[in-house]
Amino acid sequence: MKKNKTLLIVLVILLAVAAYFFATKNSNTLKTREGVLSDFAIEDTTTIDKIFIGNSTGENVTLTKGSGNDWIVDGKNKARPESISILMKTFARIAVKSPVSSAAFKNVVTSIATQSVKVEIYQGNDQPSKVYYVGESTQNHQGTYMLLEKAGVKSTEPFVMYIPGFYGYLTTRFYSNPLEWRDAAVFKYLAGEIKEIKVDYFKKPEESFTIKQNGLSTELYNNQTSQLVENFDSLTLKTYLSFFDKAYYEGVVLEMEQTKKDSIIASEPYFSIRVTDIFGKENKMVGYFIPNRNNPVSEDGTSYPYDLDRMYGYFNDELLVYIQYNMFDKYLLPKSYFNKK
Amino acid sequence: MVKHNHNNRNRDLITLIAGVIIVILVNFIGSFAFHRFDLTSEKRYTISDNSKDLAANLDDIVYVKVYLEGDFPAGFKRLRDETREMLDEFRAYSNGFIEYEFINPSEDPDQKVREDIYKQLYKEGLRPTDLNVKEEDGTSNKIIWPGALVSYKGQEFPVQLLKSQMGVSPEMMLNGSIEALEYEFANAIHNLKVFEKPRVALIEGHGELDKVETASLAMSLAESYTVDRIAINEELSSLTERVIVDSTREYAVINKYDAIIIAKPTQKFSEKDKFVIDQYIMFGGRVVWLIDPVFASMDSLQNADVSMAIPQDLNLDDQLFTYGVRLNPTLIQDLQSAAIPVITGRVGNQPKQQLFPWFFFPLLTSANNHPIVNNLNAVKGEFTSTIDTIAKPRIRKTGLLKSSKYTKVSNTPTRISLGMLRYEPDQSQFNAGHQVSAVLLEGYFESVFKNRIAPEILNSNEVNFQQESKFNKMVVIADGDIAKNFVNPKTSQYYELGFDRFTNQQYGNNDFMLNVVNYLCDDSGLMGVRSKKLTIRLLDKTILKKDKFKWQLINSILPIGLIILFGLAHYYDRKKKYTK
Repeated sequence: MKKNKTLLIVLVILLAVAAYFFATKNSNTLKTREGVLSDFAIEDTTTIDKIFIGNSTGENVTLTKGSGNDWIVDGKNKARPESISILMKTFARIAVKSPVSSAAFKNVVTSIATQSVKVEIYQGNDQPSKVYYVGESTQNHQGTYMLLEKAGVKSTEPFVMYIPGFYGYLTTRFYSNPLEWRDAAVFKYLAGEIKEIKVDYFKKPEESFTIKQNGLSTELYNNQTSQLVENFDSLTLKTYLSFFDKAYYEGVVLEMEQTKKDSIIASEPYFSIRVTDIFGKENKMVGYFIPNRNNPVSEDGTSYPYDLDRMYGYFNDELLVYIQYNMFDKYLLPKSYFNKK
Repeated sequence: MVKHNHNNRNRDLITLIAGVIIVILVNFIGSFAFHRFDLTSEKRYTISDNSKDLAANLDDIVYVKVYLEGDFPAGFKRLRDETREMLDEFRAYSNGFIEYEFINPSEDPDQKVREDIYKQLYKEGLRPTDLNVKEEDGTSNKIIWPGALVSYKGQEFPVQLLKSQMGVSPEMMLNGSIEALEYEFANAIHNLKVFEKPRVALIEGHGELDKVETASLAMSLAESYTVDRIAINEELSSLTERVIVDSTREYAVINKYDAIIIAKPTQKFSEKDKFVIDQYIMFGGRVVWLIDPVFASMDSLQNADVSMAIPQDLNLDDQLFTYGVRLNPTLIQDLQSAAIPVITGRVGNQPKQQLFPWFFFPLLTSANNHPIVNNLNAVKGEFTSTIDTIAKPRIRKTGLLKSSKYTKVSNTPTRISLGMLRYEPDQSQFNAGHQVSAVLLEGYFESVFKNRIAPEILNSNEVNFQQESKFNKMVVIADGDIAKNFVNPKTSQYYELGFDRFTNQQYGNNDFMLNVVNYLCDDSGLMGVRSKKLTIRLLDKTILKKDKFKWQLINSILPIGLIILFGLAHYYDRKKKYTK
């Protein structure tokens, strides 16, 4: 019995040692360093249901997973799907490029402590599963200094992070302005979903028009007289309706004082497009010319009064954005365009 | 009584099971615990003192990303395991400054992502290997990246773990690669640690290989050296710098370059240029001489069927003779040679090309186990000559490259004709045996200008003429083309040094040149690690084939037979014991 007892004690000790080695077994020695967290990547990004991104100035955004693949910005608007996709790919593929050199260590730690972007990743719990502190890029812009926190404990060492196969730094993927995260879609309708489109030209009100869909009929109205236009080309009109399947603004006007924004909104617009869908929900874009700042001149030397590429757009009476003629020209057709030829 | 027996049986059973589990656990723990009793005769698991010092003197983390993870053949798994063990060995002496990670670059299921990763690895300096993997429904092609990226203080250095060698079995190639692991990692760490890169100059002004022709070599050297091109122009200050020492008011001579490369000069050296080089050597400068003692060129054969190879006088014979070698105005013809394409006819209106071995392009192999050439791929020569060594006391001569034993040596002038390709070579003429065409000289060199210079120079304080060098080294190669990369005349693009565009074969020219410069510039003895030799203990395939059935029987029947015998003996022993 005594012999068996000794044998069992030896067995238990060996089991414990084996379990320790098995638990610490990996092909990455960084993981064995005490206090060092380097497993930034998230294997299954489908389990992520909330992301918080905040910077040192107090600006922050919370992205939450909605129904299907949609993500919601601060509980209100849909998030840009392509930005979410990039973020998820980043979480999945991020890897350690190298440890931070001892010469740069102190500066990097200070910089991360004072100027980093904090990224909290939630996977079904109230507490974030991982928190990234995203610092600046390395000198050659091929890596990004980052520090990982798990279960409320920060890593003792930051790392130079990168995405294998990608050239560049990652800081720009973690922006904290909610406006930048908003889906840039302005109009996204199937032709059958549209109930009414009202287009107004403020300098040429006689060319303003309204298209109304009622059941199977599509009608064109003169906005000045509210009269039905009789002689229109229905095929041209249907084609026009099909354009509303995807229209995007270029970006939000961020670097502008509110007073200037107010003065733009108060000025006379070039156009206004108001689309009402069959559920009564409305989307409106009002366009304003941008004065010609880059000063390109025509062949005869005369200067163009307005920017040749883009306009300001005031989206749904809340967001001043840049819109491109390239995208919006097809919506800005005069009423006469629909006349039967 | 019955209960007692039952207890005994239970106790024995527990003892047996516990014993088996203990054995399994001890083995399992042993696979993790890093401690090595190196009982191998060649001490294959013990790193050299130089490597230990290198690891021990680290002051920042060296991070090694090894791209050898995933599912691949057993040979590569062995390379991976040996790499891990080598890194563990370095790590053990590094005070925690060496970290590594094994990465599978083919892990991502997205093909585009994989391709992006491959492109990045290629750009970083790693090279892939194509593998044909046998599967149930045929074979599939697999790309693996047997390499590592070593980073230190924000800088990265590529390490190619698999060293390809021509005409060598895969087992030998893997063994060679494993032998080279220690040097490769030590060299990478050494290169990353060196704050100021050593300076190397390619000499010009005597019709040497131009910038494009040495572009590949310069690029490879630039990873570890600052590379310049300079013309000597008969100026003493081109290779050395003379500064007045405040305390002695005398001139101290400092070499501007750690090594110079004289690659395929075609014009005579003036006595003054020779003097500049000589004094550079006397003050410890290292030189790689790549000299063609015979003028022969494939360009001449483009227009005419026959060309003459004639001796080339570069006015260097006396200098090299004084240092310990003589370049012979001969040409090596070797049955082991590279191939060239020859138009053999026409198919429709298209010329039909065929590859023929061109005996004037010998494939030179290692002459011994010296660190410069150990485990080196064959080096492609073009119109290579032979070298004789001269009996010079205090100079050690080591042959580096040699032709195969099927060599013919032609004296010059001699006729070179493509027509030779039409006939089968007469093998009896290729009986000169191995011929050395690259030699390492180490020791105390005597100046070629000793007892030859005017008193005003001899007594000049500024010149500070030296008659004999301190311990120094140089390499003399009787073929300038070894350092020449192919340049596409239409696009001016250059190929990697040693790459044969006709056969897509990569020869060892680049590695050889790098090893030569590394050896000449290395005073730490790190290059010595390259000569480490591991004994490959492979099964004798001939015996294996012949006695396959016998060995199969021995392996399968003998153990079972022994167990049955033991069981029977035990049974009869017990029977005999308890029937009494």
